Amino acid sequence: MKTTRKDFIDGLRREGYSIPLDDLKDLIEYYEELLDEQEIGKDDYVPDEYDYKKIIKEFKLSGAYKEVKTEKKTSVKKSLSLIILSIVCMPILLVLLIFISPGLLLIPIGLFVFSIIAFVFLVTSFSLIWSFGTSSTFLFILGIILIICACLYLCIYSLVAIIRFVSRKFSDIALKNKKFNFNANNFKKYTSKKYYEYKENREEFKEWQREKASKKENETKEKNEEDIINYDEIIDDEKEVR
Amino acid sequence: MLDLSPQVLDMCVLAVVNKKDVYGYELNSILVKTLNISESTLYPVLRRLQNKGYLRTYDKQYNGRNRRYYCITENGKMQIQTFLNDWENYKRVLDKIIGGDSDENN
Repeated sequence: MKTTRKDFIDGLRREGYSIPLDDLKDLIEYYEELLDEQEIGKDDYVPDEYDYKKIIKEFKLSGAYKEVKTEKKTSVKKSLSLIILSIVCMPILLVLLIFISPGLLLIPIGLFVFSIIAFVFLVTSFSLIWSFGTSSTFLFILGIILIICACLYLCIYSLVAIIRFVSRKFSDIALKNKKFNFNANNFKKYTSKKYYEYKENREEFKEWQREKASKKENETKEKNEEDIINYDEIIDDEKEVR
Repeated sequence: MLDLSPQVLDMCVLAVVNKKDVYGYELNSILVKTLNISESTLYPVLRRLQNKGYLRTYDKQYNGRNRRYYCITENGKMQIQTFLNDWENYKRVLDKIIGGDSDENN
Protein backbone atom coordinates (compact mmCIF):
# COMPACT_ATOMS: atom_id res chain seq x y z
CA MET A 1 0.00 0.00 0.00
CA LYS A 2 1.35 3.37 -1.04
CA THR A 3 1.89 6.05 1.62
CA THR A 4 2.01 9.78 1.04
CA ARG A 5 4.67 11.90 2.67
CA LYS A 6 2.07 13.45 4.98
CA ASP A 7 0.80 10.03 6.09
CA PHE A 8 4.39 8.84 6.56
CA ILE A 9 5.26 11.74 8.87
CA ASP A 10 1.95 11.39 10.74
CA GLY A 11 2.69 7.67 11.12
CA LEU A 12 6.11 8.43 12.61
CA ARG A 13 4.51 10.80 15.12
CA ARG A 14 1.78 8.30 15.98
CA GLU A 15 4.03 5.26 16.36
CA GLY A 16 6.74 7.19 18.19
CA TYR A 17 4.50 8.54 20.95
CA SER A 18 6.59 6.76 23.60
CA ILE A 19 9.87 8.25 22.34
CA PRO A 20 11.06 11.42 24.10
CA LEU A 21 9.90 14.46 22.18
CA ASP A 22 13.38 15.74 21.27
CA ASP A 23 14.43 12.35 19.89
CA LEU A 24 11.25 12.03 17.86
CA LYS A 25 11.64 15.57 16.53
CA ASP A 26 15.21 14.77 15.40
CA LEU A 27 14.07 11.54 13.75
CA ILE A 28 11.27 13.30 11.84
CA GLU A 29 13.64 16.09 10.76
CA TYR A 30 16.08 13.48 9.44
CA TYR A 31 13.42 11.80 7.28
CA GLU A 32 11.94 15.15 6.21
CA GLU A 33 15.42 16.10 4.98
CA LEU A 34 15.82 12.80 3.07
CA LEU A 35 12.41 13.32 1.41
CA ASP A 36 13.25 16.95 0.61
CA GLU A 37 16.47 15.83 -1.08
CA GLN A 38 14.44 13.42 -3.21
CA GLU A 39 12.00 16.28 -3.97
CA ILE A 40 9.03 14.36 -2.64
CA GLY A 41 6.11 16.74 -2.00
CA LYS A 42 3.55 16.66 0.80
CA ASP A 43 1.01 14.64 -1.18
CA ASP A 44 3.52 12.56 -3.15
CA TYR A 45 4.07 8.92 -2.37
CA VAL A 46 7.18 7.93 -0.45
CA PRO A 47 9.31 4.98 -1.67
CA ASP A 48 8.22 1.55 -0.37
CA GLU A 49 11.37 1.23 1.79
CA TYR A 50 10.09 4.08 4.00
CA ASP A 51 8.06 2.07 6.47
CA TYR A 52 7.31 4.22 9.51
CA LYS A 53 6.44 1.25 11.75
CA LYS A 54 9.76 -0.45 10.98
CA ILE A 55 11.67 2.81 11.44
CA ILE A 56 10.21 3.40 14.92
CA LYS A 57 10.62 -0.25 15.90
CA GLU A 58 14.30 -0.31 14.88
CA PHE A 59 14.93 3.00 16.59
CA LYS A 60 13.44 1.69 19.81
CA LEU A 61 15.41 -1.54 19.63
CA SER A 62 18.71 0.15 18.86
CA GLY A 63 21.16 1.55 21.41
CA ALA A 64 20.32 5.02 20.09
CA TYR A 65 17.54 5.23 22.62
CA LYS A 66 19.95 6.83 25.07
CA GLU A 67 17.55 9.43 26.44
CA VAL A 68 15.15 6.80 27.75
CA LYS A 69 17.95 4.76 29.34
CA THR A 70 19.23 7.85 31.14
CA GLU A 71 15.68 8.65 32.25
CA LYS A 72 15.22 5.16 33.68
CA LYS A 73 18.52 5.33 35.55
CA THR A 74 17.49 8.68 36.97
CA SER A 75 14.12 7.28 38.06
CA VAL A 76 15.78 4.42 39.96
CA LYS A 77 18.27 6.87 41.47
CA LYS A 78 15.51 9.28 42.50
CA SER A 79 13.34 6.52 43.91
CA LEU A 80 16.21 4.97 45.84
CA SER A 81 17.11 8.33 47.33
CA LEU A 82 13.49 8.82 48.38
CA ILE A 83 13.35 5.35 49.95
CA ILE A 84 16.61 5.95 51.83
CA LEU A 85 15.29 9.34 52.94
CA SER A 86 12.11 7.78 54.32
CA ILE A 87 14.06 5.07 56.17
CA VAL A 88 16.50 7.62 57.59
CA CYS A 89 13.60 9.86 58.63
CA MET A 90 11.86 7.17 60.67
CA PRO A 91 14.18 7.10 63.73
CA ILE A 92 14.40 10.90 63.71
CA LEU A 93 10.64 11.02 63.69
CA LEU A 94 10.48 8.56 66.57
CA VAL A 95 12.80 10.71 68.68
CA LEU A 96 10.81 13.82 67.79
CA LEU A 97 7.56 12.13 68.73
CA ILE A 98 8.92 11.03 72.11
CA PHE A 99 10.19 14.51 72.94
CA ILE A 100 7.22 16.45 71.63
CA SER A 101 4.35 14.25 72.63
CA PRO A 102 2.90 14.91 76.10
CA GLY A 103 0.53 11.95 75.82
CA LEU A 104 2.20 8.55 75.53
CA LEU A 105 -0.84 7.13 73.76
CA LEU A 106 -0.27 9.34 70.75
CA ILE A 107 3.21 7.92 70.06
CA PRO A 108 2.08 4.46 68.91
CA ILE A 109 -0.83 6.01 66.97
CA GLY A 110 1.53 8.42 65.22
CA LEU A 111 4.06 5.71 64.48
CA PHE A 112 1.34 3.45 63.14
CA VAL A 113 0.09 6.12 60.72
CA PHE A 114 3.61 7.00 59.61
CA SER A 115 4.53 3.34 59.16
CA ILE A 116 1.51 2.85 56.89
CA ILE A 117 2.57 5.83 54.78
CA ALA A 118 6.18 4.60 54.62
CA PHE A 119 5.08 1.03 53.82
CA VAL A 120 2.77 2.16 51.02
CA PHE A 121 5.56 4.32 49.62
CA LEU A 122 8.15 1.53 49.74
CA VAL A 123 5.90 -1.13 48.22
CA THR A 124 4.63 1.17 45.48
CA SER A 125 8.10 2.40 44.56
CA PHE A 126 9.64 -1.06 44.42
CA SER A 127 6.80 -2.56 42.41
CA LEU A 128 6.74 0.36 39.99
CA ILE A 129 10.49 0.29 39.40
CA TRP A 130 11.05 -3.43 39.03
CA SER A 131 7.71 -4.72 37.78
CA PHE A 132 6.17 -2.06 35.60
CA GLY A 133 9.10 0.22 34.73
CA THR A 134 7.04 3.37 35.27
CA SER A 135 8.56 6.67 34.24
CA SER A 136 10.54 8.75 36.72
CA THR A 137 8.11 11.67 36.59
CA PHE A 138 5.27 9.59 38.02
CA LEU A 139 7.50 8.09 40.71
CA PHE A 140 8.89 11.46 41.61
CA ILE A 141 5.39 12.97 41.97
CA LEU A 142 4.27 9.93 44.01
CA GLY A 143 7.27 10.27 46.32
CA ILE A 144 6.70 13.99 46.75
CA ILE A 145 2.99 13.46 47.56
CA LEU A 146 3.83 10.81 50.17
CA ILE A 147 6.54 12.94 51.74
CA ILE A 148 4.16 15.93 51.83
CA CYS A 149 1.54 13.68 53.51
CA ALA A 150 4.09 12.55 56.10
CA CYS A 151 5.26 16.13 56.70
CA LEU A 152 1.67 17.39 57.02
CA TYR A 153 0.92 14.63 59.49
CA LEU A 154 4.05 15.50 61.47
CA CYS A 155 3.20 19.22 61.44
CA ILE A 156 -0.40 18.72 62.56
CA TYR A 157 0.65 16.21 65.20
CA SER A 158 3.43 18.49 66.49
CA LEU A 159 1.08 21.48 66.57
CA VAL A 160 -1.52 19.60 68.60
CA ALA A 161 1.20 18.26 70.90
CA ILE A 162 2.69 21.73 71.42
CA ILE A 163 -0.74 23.24 72.14
CA ARG A 164 -1.48 20.49 74.64
CA PHE A 165 1.93 20.95 76.27
CA VAL A 166 1.56 24.74 76.54
CA SER A 167 -1.99 24.54 77.85
CA ARG A 168 -0.95 21.99 80.48
CA LYS A 169 1.94 24.18 81.60
CA PHE A 170 -0.34 27.20 81.68
CA SER A 171 -2.96 25.48 83.79
CA ASP A 172 -0.31 24.06 86.15
CA ILE A 173 1.19 27.51 86.75
CA ALA A 174 -2.24 28.99 87.25
CA LEU A 175 -3.24 26.33 89.74
CA LYS A 176 0.05 26.64 91.57
CA ASN A 177 -0.27 30.40 92.00
CA LYS A 178 -3.96 30.02 92.68
CA LYS A 179 -4.83 32.71 90.18
CA PHE A 180 -8.16 31.95 88.64
CA ASN A 181 -8.74 35.16 86.78
CA PHE A 182 -7.76 33.92 83.28
CA ASN A 183 -10.36 33.43 80.61
CA ALA A 184 -11.97 30.08 81.27
CA ASN A 185 -13.70 29.98 77.86
CA ASN A 186 -10.43 30.20 75.94
CA PHE A 187 -8.86 27.67 78.22
CA LYS A 188 -11.76 25.27 77.62
CA LYS A 189 -11.09 25.48 73.86
CA TYR A 190 -7.60 24.06 74.25
CA THR A 191 -8.19 21.35 76.81
CA SER A 192 -11.54 20.38 78.17
CA LYS A 193 -10.05 17.88 80.63
CA LYS A 194 -7.91 20.57 82.22
CA TYR A 195 -10.90 22.89 82.29
CA TYR A 196 -12.88 20.49 84.45
CA GLU A 197 -9.86 19.94 86.70
CA TYR A 198 -9.58 23.68 87.03
CA LYS A 199 -13.30 24.01 87.84
CA GLU A 200 -13.10 21.37 90.56
CA ASN A 201 -10.02 23.01 92.04
CA ARG A 202 -11.69 26.39 91.98
CA GLU A 203 -14.59 25.11 94.07
CA GLU A 204 -12.17 23.55 96.52
CA PHE A 205 -10.18 26.76 96.67
CA LYS A 206 -13.29 28.87 97.32
CA GLU A 207 -14.30 26.58 100.14
CA TRP A 208 -10.77 26.78 101.55
CA GLN A 209 -10.92 30.58 101.26
CA ARG A 210 -14.28 30.66 103.03
CA GLU A 211 -12.93 28.43 105.80
CA LYS A 212 -9.84 30.58 106.14
CA ALA A 213 -11.88 33.76 106.26
CA SER A 214 -14.26 32.41 108.88
CA LYS A 215 -11.31 31.09 110.91
CA LYS A 216 -9.66 34.49 110.78
CA GLU A 217 -12.95 36.16 111.72
CA ASN A 218 -13.31 33.84 114.71
CA GLU A 219 -9.75 34.47 115.79
CA THR A 220 -10.25 38.23 115.59
CA LYS A 221 -13.50 37.94 117.48
CA GLU A 222 -11.84 35.84 120.18
CA LYS A 223 -8.95 38.26 120.41
CA ASN A 224 -11.29 41.21 120.67
CA GLU A 225 -13.25 39.45 123.38
CA GLU A 226 -10.02 38.69 125.19
CA ASP A 227 -8.94 42.30 124.89
CA ILE A 228 -12.25 43.46 126.24
CA ILE A 229 -11.91 41.04 129.17
CA ASN A 230 -8.38 42.23 129.79
CA TYR A 231 -9.49 45.85 129.66
CA ASP A 232 -12.31 45.17 132.12
CA GLU A 233 -9.87 43.45 134.47
CA ILE A 234 -7.49 46.44 134.32
CA ILE A 235 -10.35 48.85 135.10
CA ASP A 236 -11.44 46.71 138.01
CA ASP A 237 -7.86 46.60 139.38
CA GLU A 238 -7.55 50.40 139.15
CA LYS A 239 -10.83 50.82 140.99
CA GLU A 240 -9.61 48.54 143.77
CA VAL A 241 -6.35 50.49 144.13
CA ARG A 242 -8.24 53.75 144.44
CA MET B 1 24.87 -10.15 1.34
CA LEU B 2 25.94 -10.99 4.89
CA ASP B 3 24.26 -9.22 7.80
CA LEU B 4 26.43 -6.57 9.38
CA SER B 5 26.92 -6.31 13.10
CA PRO B 6 26.21 -2.92 14.79
CA GLN B 7 29.95 -2.43 15.37
CA VAL B 8 30.77 -2.95 11.70
CA LEU B 9 28.03 -0.48 10.77
CA ASP B 10 29.47 2.04 13.24
CA MET B 11 32.88 1.55 11.66
CA CYS B 12 31.51 2.03 8.13
CA VAL B 13 29.71 5.26 9.06
CA LEU B 14 32.76 6.63 10.89
CA ALA B 15 34.99 5.68 7.94
CA VAL B 16 32.79 7.64 5.50
CA VAL B 17 32.48 10.69 7.78
CA ASN B 18 36.22 10.58 8.52
CA LYS B 19 36.93 11.39 4.87
CA LYS B 20 34.67 14.47 4.73
CA ASP B 21 31.62 16.03 6.35
CA VAL B 22 28.48 14.51 4.85
CA TYR B 23 24.75 15.31 5.04
CA GLY B 24 22.07 12.73 5.74
CA TYR B 25 20.94 11.94 2.23
CA GLU B 26 24.52 11.71 0.94
CA LEU B 27 25.46 9.26 3.66
CA ASN B 28 22.24 7.37 3.08
CA SER B 29 22.95 7.09 -0.65
CA ILE B 30 26.46 5.77 -0.04
CA LEU B 31 25.72 3.24 2.66
CA VAL B 32 22.18 2.00 2.01
CA LYS B 33 22.96 1.06 -1.55
CA THR B 34 26.48 -0.30 -1.08
CA LEU B 35 25.87 -2.23 2.13
CA ASN B 36 22.32 -3.21 1.19
CA ILE B 37 20.88 -2.08 4.50
CA SER B 38 17.32 -0.84 5.00
CA GLU B 39 16.32 2.82 5.27
CA SER B 40 15.45 2.37 8.92
CA THR B 41 18.91 1.08 9.91
CA LEU B 42 21.07 4.12 9.31
CA TYR B 43 19.39 6.72 11.54
CA PRO B 44 19.77 4.69 14.79
CA VAL B 45 23.47 4.20 13.95
CA LEU B 46 23.95 7.94 13.50
CA ARG B 47 22.17 8.69 16.79
CA ARG B 48 24.20 6.08 18.62
CA LEU B 49 27.47 7.56 17.35
CA GLN B 50 26.30 11.05 18.30
CA ASN B 51 25.35 9.90 21.79
CA LYS B 52 28.76 8.30 22.22
CA GLY B 53 30.40 11.55 21.18
CA TYR B 54 32.01 10.22 17.98
CA LEU B 55 29.94 12.40 15.65
CA ARG B 56 28.53 15.91 15.83
CA THR B 57 26.19 17.80 13.56
CA TYR B 58 25.80 21.27 12.13
CA ASP B 59 23.12 22.77 9.89
CA LYS B 60 23.74 24.46 6.58
CA GLN B 61 21.28 26.05 4.15
CA TYR B 62 21.16 24.71 0.62
CA ASN B 63 18.68 25.94 -2.04
CA GLY B 64 16.38 27.28 0.66
CA ARG B 65 16.27 24.09 2.68
CA ASN B 66 18.23 22.80 5.60
CA ARG B 67 20.96 20.18 5.37
CA ARG B 68 22.28 18.56 8.53
CA TYR B 69 25.95 17.72 8.14
CA TYR B 70 27.67 15.03 10.14
CA CYS B 71 31.33 15.45 11.08
CA ILE B 72 33.72 13.33 13.09
CA THR B 73 34.98 14.38 16.54
CA GLU B 74 38.42 13.74 18.11
CA ASN B 75 36.93 10.81 20.02
CA GLY B 76 35.49 9.53 16.76
CA LYS B 77 38.91 9.70 15.12
CA MET B 78 40.43 7.66 17.93
CA GLN B 79 37.55 5.21 17.73
CA ILE B 80 37.90 4.69 13.97
CA GLN B 81 41.58 3.84 14.50
CA THR B 82 40.61 1.25 17.10
CA PHE B 83 37.93 -0.12 14.77
CA LEU B 84 40.37 -0.34 11.84
CA ASN B 85 42.99 -2.18 13.94
CA ASP B 86 40.33 -4.58 15.20
CA TRP B 87 39.05 -5.02 11.66
CA GLU B 88 42.51 -5.91 10.37
CA ASN B 89 42.94 -8.58 13.05
CA TYR B 90 39.42 -9.87 12.48
CA LYS B 91 39.95 -10.03 8.74
CA ARG B 92 43.25 -11.89 9.15
CA VAL B 93 41.63 -14.48 11.45
CA LEU B 94 38.66 -14.90 9.10
CA ASP B 95 40.95 -15.25 6.09
CA LYS B 96 42.89 -17.93 7.87
CA ILE B 97 39.74 -19.85 8.78
CA ILE B 98 38.07 -19.49 5.43
CA GLY B 99 41.25 -20.08 3.42
CA GLY B 100 42.28 -23.01 5.64
CA ASP B 101 45.49 -21.16 6.39
CA SER B 102 45.42 -21.92 10.12
CA ASP B 103 48.35 -22.37 12.53
CA GLU B 104 47.72 -26.12 12.63
CA ASN B 105 48.38 -26.42 8.87
CA ASN B 106 51.57 -24.44 9.25
